[in-house]
Amino acid sequence: MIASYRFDGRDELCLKTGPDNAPALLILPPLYDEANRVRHLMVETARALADRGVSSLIPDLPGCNESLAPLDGASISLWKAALISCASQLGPVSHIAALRGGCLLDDALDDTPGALPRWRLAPVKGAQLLRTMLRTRIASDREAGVTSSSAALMEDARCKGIELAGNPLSATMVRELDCAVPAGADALRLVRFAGDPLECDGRIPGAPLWLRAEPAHDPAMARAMAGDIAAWMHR
Amino acid sequence: MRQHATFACAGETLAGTFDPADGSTALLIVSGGNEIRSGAHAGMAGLAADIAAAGFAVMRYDRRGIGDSTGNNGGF
Repeated sequence: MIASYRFDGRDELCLKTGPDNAPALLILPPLYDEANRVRHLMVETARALADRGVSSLIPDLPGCNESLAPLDGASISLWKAALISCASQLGPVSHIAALRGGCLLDDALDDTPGALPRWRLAPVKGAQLLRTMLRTRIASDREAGVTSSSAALMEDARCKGIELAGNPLSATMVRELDCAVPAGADALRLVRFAGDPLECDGRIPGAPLWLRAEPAHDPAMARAMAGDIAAWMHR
Repeated sequence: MRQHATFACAGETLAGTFDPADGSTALLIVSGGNEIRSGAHAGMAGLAADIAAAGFAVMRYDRRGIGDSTGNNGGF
């Protein structure tokens, strides 16, 4: 279950489940603290997929979770480079499943021959993640008696980086995240939660766990995700 | 060098992380609530690295039903 890949002089944790000899599904976690709140959901989904004979990889992104790399050195392009290393060392990867901000990274392996089929759960634009974190920052500034605005913070952040909601973001990360959108894809299955009014190819019952105040779990959601992913992979 | 491992607990498999150090005194970090072993904003992972650098080995783990561990979450 515990594996690792080498990137930028460090060993990064990567959970590996399912049969050893099969091409793997690469599972891309949401970004920043959303990843904590769905960690168990992702791992239980991977275990349910293993029961169906599907191999999965859940890599740590450099600077996140157990990674010893500094988060303020991370960027979207660095994370994509890390995923290329992960796939080449622990793959082959045949499919990608991405959650939320992880969908901003799911074109990382597109330079390898043939774009891989992608499954996306509730994808989000980088600018939207930035806006959410900026709101937290502005609220905490207000509590400290400081008046700040989103526009002024962003202008500064694009040159100098910024700490948002406890996350140190480099200037490169701010610029890359601000314009990052999920890439266009031919073989794509878009999945959303039952209460989400936006269009999609499939729906998962339950409510988003990343909106909770602390990590939580929904076993039925993990089973539904594994069922949807397995059916999509076997198509 | 940080090491990850799994170990058995009451029929379930728990995931843990060990930051070794030369000293003979070690620290066990138990994350509160439902937080995973790396902690909010990876704060516990960062704390463990700093304490290991100061000479004390550190162990962290996900309890049953949390993070990378199997089983049902019986509550903190």
